[in-house]
Amino acid sequence: MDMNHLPEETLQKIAEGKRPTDKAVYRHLDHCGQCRESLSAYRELLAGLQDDRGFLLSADFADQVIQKSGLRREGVPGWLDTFLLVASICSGLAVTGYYLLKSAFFENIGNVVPLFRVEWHSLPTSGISQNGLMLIFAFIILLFFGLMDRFLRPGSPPRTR
Amino acid sequence: MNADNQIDDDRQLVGDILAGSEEAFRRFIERYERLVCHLVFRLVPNPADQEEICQEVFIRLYKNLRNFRFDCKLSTYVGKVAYHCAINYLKKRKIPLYGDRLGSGHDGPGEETSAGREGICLKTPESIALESERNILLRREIKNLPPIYRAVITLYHLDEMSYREISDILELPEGTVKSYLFRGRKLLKEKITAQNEPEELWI
Repeated sequence: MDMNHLPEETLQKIAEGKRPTDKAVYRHLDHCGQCRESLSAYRELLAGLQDDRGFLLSADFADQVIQKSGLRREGVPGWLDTFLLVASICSGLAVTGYYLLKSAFFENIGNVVPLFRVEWHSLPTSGISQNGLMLIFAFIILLFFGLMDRFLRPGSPPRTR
Repeated sequence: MNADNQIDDDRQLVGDILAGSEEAFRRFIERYERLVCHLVFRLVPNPADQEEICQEVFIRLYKNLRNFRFDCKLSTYVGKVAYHCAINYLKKRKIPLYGDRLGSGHDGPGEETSAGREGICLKTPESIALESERNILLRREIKNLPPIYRAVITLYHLDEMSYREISDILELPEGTVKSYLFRGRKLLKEKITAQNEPEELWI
């Protein structure tokens, strides 16, 4: 090793807290004021480089990003969101209850099916009980109202630069 | 948190975001805003644009998370997107990435203001004031380094990333990263020592 002065790389490593294995390095530091000063400067520098003051984002940064990302749908307040969800479930249950209580499921479905030009009796219902069909119908209604909730809350696309 | 738990947690977080959870996206932003902020603030010189670029980074991440295959750490992916957004900004303004601004020892008035704004310190003793002054000087000198040096120094010292992670983010060989780090620190030390010396003669 050229011991006129320690290499900068060695000084940087020592400043980082890495202990050199070569005893000559310590001996040199004991005698060389210039290298000690240089080491001290590196230590100060590394401490300064870890100072992360000044990196501040605005308090509502996350909100702004979420808004711009389109994840939160614009124009729909939280209470309306909850109301729509509850209303959808209640409506679905009410319609299902109506058909079940009035025992009018088959009469009404009989009125609906011709609209789709489907012969009711030709539907492949063999093996499914009437109660099973009613449950499927109830599920479809619930699904429909659930999706209606989504249709009622159109999200606007995010505007980015 | 160990590495495996971190990966599982990241997978869960990304899954929740893709499922449309606003809460998960908020956690994601809070977890990585420091990293994004460090890189963007260090690379983008204009304070008026910094926060907007940070927003752009997260929006881009949100749109592209579906394509993330966990072939690297999520923090590396976030760093990579932040770095590319900042670099695109610099390229649009024709600021050279590797260009030599090392010789210019003086800042414009805008940079001076910005450094002063960053250097707010509530501690009062003289030694702390001196340290604060040194930090302001250091920030000014960091701004005079080429962007690639700033990126390496920031990721290594502020975000405590390994050479490997930095090389993944900057898409440079590990040796080059080490070299930039060494040269960047050497230049900063020389600049600061040179600026401190005349003052000390007067003390």
